[in-house]
Amino acid sequence: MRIRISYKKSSIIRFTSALDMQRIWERSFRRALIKVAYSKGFHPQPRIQLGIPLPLGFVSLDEKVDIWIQESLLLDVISRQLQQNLPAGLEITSIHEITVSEKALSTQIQFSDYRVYLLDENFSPELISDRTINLLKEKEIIREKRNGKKYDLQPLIVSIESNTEIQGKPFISLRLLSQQNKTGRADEVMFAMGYSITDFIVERIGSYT
Amino acid sequence: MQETQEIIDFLDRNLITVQKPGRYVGGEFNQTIKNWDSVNVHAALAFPDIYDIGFPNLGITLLYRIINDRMDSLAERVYAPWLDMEQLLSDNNVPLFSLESKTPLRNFDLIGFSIPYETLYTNVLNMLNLSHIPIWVKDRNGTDPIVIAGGHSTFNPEPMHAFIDAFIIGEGEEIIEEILDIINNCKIKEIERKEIINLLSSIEGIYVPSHYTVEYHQNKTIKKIINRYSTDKKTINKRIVKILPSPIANLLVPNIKVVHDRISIEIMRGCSRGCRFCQAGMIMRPVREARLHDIMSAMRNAVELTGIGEVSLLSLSTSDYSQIKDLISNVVLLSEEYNLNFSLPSLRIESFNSDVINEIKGKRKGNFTIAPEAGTDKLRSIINKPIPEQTIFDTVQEICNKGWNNIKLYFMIGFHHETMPDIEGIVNLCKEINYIGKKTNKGRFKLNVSINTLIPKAHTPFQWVNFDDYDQIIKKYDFLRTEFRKTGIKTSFPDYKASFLESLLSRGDRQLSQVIYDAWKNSAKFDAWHECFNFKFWEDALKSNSIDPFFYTGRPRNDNEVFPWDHINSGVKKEFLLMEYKRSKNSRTTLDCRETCLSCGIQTNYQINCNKIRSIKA
Repeated sequence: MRIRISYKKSSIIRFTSALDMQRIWERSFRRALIKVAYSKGFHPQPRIQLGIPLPLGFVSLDEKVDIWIQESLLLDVISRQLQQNLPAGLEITSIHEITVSEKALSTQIQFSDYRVYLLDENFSPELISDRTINLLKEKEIIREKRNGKKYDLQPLIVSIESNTEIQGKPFISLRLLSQQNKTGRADEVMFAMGYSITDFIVERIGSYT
Repeated sequence: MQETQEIIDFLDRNLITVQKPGRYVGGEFNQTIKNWDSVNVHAALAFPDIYDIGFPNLGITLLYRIINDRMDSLAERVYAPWLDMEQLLSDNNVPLFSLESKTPLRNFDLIGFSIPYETLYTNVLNMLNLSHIPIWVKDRNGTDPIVIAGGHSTFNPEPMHAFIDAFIIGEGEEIIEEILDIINNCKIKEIERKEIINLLSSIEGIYVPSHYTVEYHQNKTIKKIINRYSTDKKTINKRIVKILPSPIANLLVPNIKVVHDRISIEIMRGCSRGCRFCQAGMIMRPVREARLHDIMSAMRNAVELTGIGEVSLLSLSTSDYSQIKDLISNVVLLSEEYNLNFSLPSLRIESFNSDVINEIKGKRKGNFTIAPEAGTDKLRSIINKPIPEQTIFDTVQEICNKGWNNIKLYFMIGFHHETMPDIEGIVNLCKEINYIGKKTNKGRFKLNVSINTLIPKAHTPFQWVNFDDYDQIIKKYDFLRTEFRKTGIKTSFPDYKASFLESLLSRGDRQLSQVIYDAWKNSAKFDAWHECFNFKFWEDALKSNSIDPFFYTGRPRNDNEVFPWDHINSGVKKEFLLMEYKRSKNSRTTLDCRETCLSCGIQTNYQINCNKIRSIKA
């Protein structure tokens, strides 16, 4: 059976990379005594398919992962056994069974929403608003990838909203493309607006088809 | 507590700026976090290298469990921050903190360093400094934590004597309880720090260096070592546990990638082979096997409690485990049940026979490692690893037949009585093995050869020999490099200066404390890392102390010389080591002590019968 798990990833495990999450799921299932199905071939691998990778340091309210398991189990049994065996900072919000032939998450998802919390009180609402408006005026936002390749961030931005507050603290809402080879990074948008890496924490709200 | 919250806030904001921030956050599955105020004794277990390297350390894992199982104590962990994190901490004046509760190290009662090898010494100093704890024993007082250290390198504690309040000599399982009992009592009675250390010194296996004075001869060798504090503790006897406890199952599970990311189950402690260069083989005696039943139940529990999909059997010589065949077939069954990979490090050719090979067949074939150590039968006799060349070839043929394609060979150079024909022997042996492999498995076969330099170690029969001359070693490396060219065999060689430093520190005395300190002041740290090691820091430190390193490295010792570590009793008598040294000079081999007792001293020192404690049947 193939299941799709939605889960939260909180601050305490936000420094575990997308790559490491694969191993986290494999181990959590083995601890929960639920047998994951393996790929065929010379080096069988557990069939675990992550959604759109969450960059290191981001937290998330809604991440998704697909897992094939060897036997048919009740969803709330899986949920209960698994939750007890997850490392601190991961919390299951829902589990659904999906058809085995369903397309991979990474090909279904089109865009994601983010909330970026500003950590410094020195950023006034005016400043935040100005920076947002200025960025939205740009026709082209050239950024550099880690491998040195330049790309235009502008078409990857769907929307930016500022001047919103939660408990008196400002945050910026972003909607960015999350398609294969066309994914906007929330931190890059922030850098393009002139914020530095220690100014904010990014939270992914959800990803949509 | 306020300080802890400040550290947490600081990390929340700034950790994103360093490489692999997951090294500094803890939060692993099976981690224990206790309420700080609910216990009386707070111990920090420290490993002087980065998280990725230190995480799998079994000694720390073991002590972590023992301490946290006590009602009166807690243990938290700390590893050396990598250079970027160190910079971040010192730029912001944030003290080094524990992973679990983010408490500054200086707030702990006890800091226990595990120091398996000598090239970690400068990192110990660096971590103390980052913790804002005085580096020198003489400068600590009042509320400073008590700094203790254990691990293989501390069998010669003298080079670090000025920085460590008390050393644990030997195995930690029982002694840690005695240490905690004393600290707990003293804290209740508000006994002062200095007196606590005095009380600790009464524990068997504890060495408090500040209680001892060393007298020297004119030629700088040692005249005698005196215990000023108490006349009834002239030597410090290594601690052992007579029966191995069941292997630990609730191991911590890292949230990021670390080295040796697998379940390690200790199946046997000690080795009876008696290779003369091998420090572990001497200082870990006597041989004690874990019970097959305990191993298997620990392994099953560990798989279920950690979910880790790879298991490894840990010992100095896995195939010498008396029920190895049953063990492997049990492990094979378990790995099929849970989809596990398993590895069997430290196999000995002499005991690794077709039976064992047949048990493993069908599993994924990784590297197969063989350690002939020397290139000729003669030299293998000198080092007492007498494996006939033909046996090596036969084994290689057999494992190639069974489908292994990657073979790794380990050799050392720099043995006394080593001649160029012995070095040629390494080349010939490798070429023949490569020929067998290629003939059997064609292009898929790959041979890796790792060459190391002999570091004569304390408490071994080779503690009397000199570290080979620079010219000799370089000549041998060059010869090997040339000979291996165009053979398709991959080789690796050590950095001569790194070996030289290890050799210096391994048999050093108290004079080297100042050198270690000065080298650290000159910026030496992470000496075990290629990209950080810089011998210039050490050269300058030696020069400013007018110390000629060749006194420690290049000088063959007299039979009757008093060594800096002579007051540390590993249980193996010095006379036995000397006899072994002399036999080596005559190319005489010594039997595995399972066959005949050689009176190394272990039986009399611990009043045990090695045969009886070796394996306890279920």
